[in-house]
Amino acid sequence: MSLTALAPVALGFAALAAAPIVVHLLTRRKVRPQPFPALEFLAKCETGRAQRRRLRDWLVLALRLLALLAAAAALAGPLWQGVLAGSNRTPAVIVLDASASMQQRLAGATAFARAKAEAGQLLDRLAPRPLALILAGAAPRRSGPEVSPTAGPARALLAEAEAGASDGDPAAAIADAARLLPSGGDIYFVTDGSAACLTGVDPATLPAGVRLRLIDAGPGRDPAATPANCGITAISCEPGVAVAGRPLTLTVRVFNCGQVPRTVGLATRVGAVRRLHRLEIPAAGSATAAHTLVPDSAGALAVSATIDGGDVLALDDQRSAVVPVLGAFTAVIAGDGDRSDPLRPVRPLVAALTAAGFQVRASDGVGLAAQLAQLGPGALAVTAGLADPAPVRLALKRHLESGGAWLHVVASDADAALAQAQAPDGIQPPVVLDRRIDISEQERGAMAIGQARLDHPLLAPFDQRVGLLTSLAASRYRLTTGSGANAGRAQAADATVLLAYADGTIALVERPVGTGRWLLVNLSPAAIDSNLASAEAFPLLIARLPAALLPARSDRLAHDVGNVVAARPGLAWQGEGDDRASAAGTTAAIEADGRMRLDRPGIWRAEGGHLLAAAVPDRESDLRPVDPATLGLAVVASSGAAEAAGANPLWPWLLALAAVACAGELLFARSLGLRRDVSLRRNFGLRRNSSVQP
Amino acid sequence: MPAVTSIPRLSHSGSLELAARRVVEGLHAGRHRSPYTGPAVEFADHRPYLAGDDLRSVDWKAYARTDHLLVRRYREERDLPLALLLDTSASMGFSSASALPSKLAWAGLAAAVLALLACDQGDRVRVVGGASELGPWPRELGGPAGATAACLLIDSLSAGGAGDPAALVRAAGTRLSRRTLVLLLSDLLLDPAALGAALAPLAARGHDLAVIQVLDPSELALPADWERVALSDPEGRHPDFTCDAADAKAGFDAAMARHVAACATACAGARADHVLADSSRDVAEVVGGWLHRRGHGPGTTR
Repeated sequence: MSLTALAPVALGFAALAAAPIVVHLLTRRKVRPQPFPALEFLAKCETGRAQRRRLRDWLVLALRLLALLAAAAALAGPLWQGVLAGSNRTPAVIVLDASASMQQRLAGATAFARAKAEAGQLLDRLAPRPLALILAGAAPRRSGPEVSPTAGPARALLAEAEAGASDGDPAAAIADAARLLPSGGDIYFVTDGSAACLTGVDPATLPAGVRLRLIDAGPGRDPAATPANCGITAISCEPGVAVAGRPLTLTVRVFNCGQVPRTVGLATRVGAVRRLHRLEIPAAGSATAAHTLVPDSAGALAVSATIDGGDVLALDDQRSAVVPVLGAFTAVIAGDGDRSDPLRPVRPLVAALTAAGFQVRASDGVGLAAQLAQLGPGALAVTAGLADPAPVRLALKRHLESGGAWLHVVASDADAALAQAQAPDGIQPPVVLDRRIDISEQERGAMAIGQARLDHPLLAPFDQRVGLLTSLAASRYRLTTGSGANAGRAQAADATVLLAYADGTIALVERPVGTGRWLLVNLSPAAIDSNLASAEAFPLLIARLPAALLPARSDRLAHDVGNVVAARPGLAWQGEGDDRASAAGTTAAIEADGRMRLDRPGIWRAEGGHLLAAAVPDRESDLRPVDPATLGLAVVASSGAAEAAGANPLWPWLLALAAVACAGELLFARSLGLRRDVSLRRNFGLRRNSSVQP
Repeated sequence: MPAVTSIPRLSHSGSLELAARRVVEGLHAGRHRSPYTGPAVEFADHRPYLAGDDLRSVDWKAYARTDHLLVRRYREERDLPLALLLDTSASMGFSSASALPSKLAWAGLAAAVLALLACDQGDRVRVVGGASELGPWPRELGGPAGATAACLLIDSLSAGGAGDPAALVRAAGTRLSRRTLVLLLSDLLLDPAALGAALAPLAARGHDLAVIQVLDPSELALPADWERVALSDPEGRHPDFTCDAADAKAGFDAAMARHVAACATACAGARADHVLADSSRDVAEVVGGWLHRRGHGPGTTR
């Protein structure tokens, strides 16, 4: 059985207990001697009363002392860990943050080392309870599938734990920990308390009975103690897929999370061209630098940015990306299976794409998959009027996830079916096309397009020409409206409606999928006859597709550290059975199945010449402390690990005791009201005339 | 003690006299009934003529009616022997305020008034002071010179020692050979039963008894504004006691009221007058009131 205190210094407040004694002595009424012959009668009737009053006086003084001592003791945060506490069998899960920000160095040691030490102490304390440990890195690791009755597995995992260079997912790790506690328990989240670590953590989402506590192993929550750190939080290329002969701009954003402005030297490299910049970065702000280059040939272009080091998190001082360079934009169009003229339904679209500089390749459903695999994410996949969407579903899914773009023209029932068919593979279509009405059977007539999102790059040409866009009309099209109030047009949560017909039917909608984009145009089944396709506005839309569909994709051009990259067919190091790749003089292991774990940032070059970039997540650079209270998190200080370890906090009981003592004091003091009145009169000189009344 | 010259005049002096309620046995002719017969005016009874009786005392009219020689007898009136017993215990020296006389001073003043009155009406007075034991038994004083001597004697008394008024009464009873008006002036801070036991033998012997219980106002009603006081017994019979006067007032006042009532009951048991005197009150008013009630009460003898 042990008794500890979270803030032993607060015990100094116990000196306040002397206050009522001093007050008692100062306000003590002086006893006046008085001879009195009839003392016998007074003593007879007063002895018992005086004893009771004296006892009550002492009781009031004792209650006052008790209230002050209990309050002072409560401030000290005493914890009691006794036999009963040791029998606490409530399971506990320790979530140790292993994200990149934990590599910040504080007073000679990394935050992760401190967190690891805290976790070790916590394990010692929690040892009697069922335990589990989760490392919240890029790939969360658990000490076991269930909480273990012993701390052995958790200790083993802790011993080999290392801080990663990736973006941790504490919210997912905590949710994972909650799943290990089906009947309730405690989750102790050991982290540095930075914004990087606490983003997404919400105790309110935890099941009932699961308590989440934060153990802060970072520099603390004092804003003045925010560590000095500058990190490259983003590099972006415009466009993300470069085209030979067209300019490529590398933009680098450097963030300063410190409390003082910084001047940082920045070196950017695009291919073989290197430039130096000096950035004036305000406190808690960022600055950007741009580096423009015109690639002269297709291939892959390595870009990187490096800043001067010297801050507490050196991991984010360098960032790299690999930009694919195309010889030209390519659009692969899959038609409706009419071998004689597969592009007939989208012939106006082909014209517009050609006018926009695309190399247009016609294909059918089977050929689309092969061509997309060959061209990679730089190609634009266009589908319209496919009779059998099945062959292209998987190819389109891969194309989107790898960063490609898909322009889907809904011109037939098969097109709508293709859009919906993506859903079972895990890609939600931007629009659910369930109930369809052929408006061609109804009144024909031009309908204005409204609700345009002119802030989207695709609609940028209409920014100053709203009239042109709003006068756009379609004479025939298939609606997706239901009988009710647009009941059938539910859309994916992150889809963006760019255009809608006047009745609310969606005309143009975009949804990001993976690192790619899915653009859906809802046209008439006889699109060739649609004045939408032939209108002046349509070429303008298509002309923006390269910029809109292949936008700047900053870190999307690089893999995150911690990712496992599957070997792709055709790469020399895979086909030759080479298990080593080099990057900045180091090597990375390739698994037996041909997968490679990117555990360090940098540009990796396979022996076959293939380039691969890995970068730390940008938000890991933000080391500004976050007040856990704003997140509803209970914080346990480093010195308060005893409480986290299951010791019983005594301060609530002491506070209750102080409250009871106060109530008792009030009760007894009220019964002494007459005496207080006399004391007041004495203390303030309001004495009565002492002459004896005849 | 008050000087003789400060003795107040009784407000009822014009009609007041110190009257005996029982027959008294004065040595000298006076104005009070006595058990003796002799030359007097008030007819008492007849008795048979005996040889040697003065023939002038034969009631011849009775002889004519009864054919027996009968001699007239007259009730002799004697003076009133007054014994003033002053309790001089330490408690009698108490005064709760400088403006108030001590209880002994008040009692002495009352005794002086009564002594003057007695001497003025031809009675004789004996002033006895003591706490619990009698000193030398004083002689009776009478006449103007006796009144002055009585006042001087009263003036010489001082408070001190542990008091026992009952013992004082018992001791005086052993010294009184004739029926006397015995007046005790004391605060009666004693057991009322002891007082009753001390008065009873005197009453049985025919003494006329009166008790003036002199108490300080603070003893009748404890002043609440004394606040917290450390009380000490002047006679040292009780240990010092610290209390809050405001708290103790109710209990003390009730206890003192019960004690005074018990003293009055004890006095009544011995057919003694009981007068409660507040030392803050005027002596003449208190004594005059008592004399007035006594002079017009039942059983008064003249």
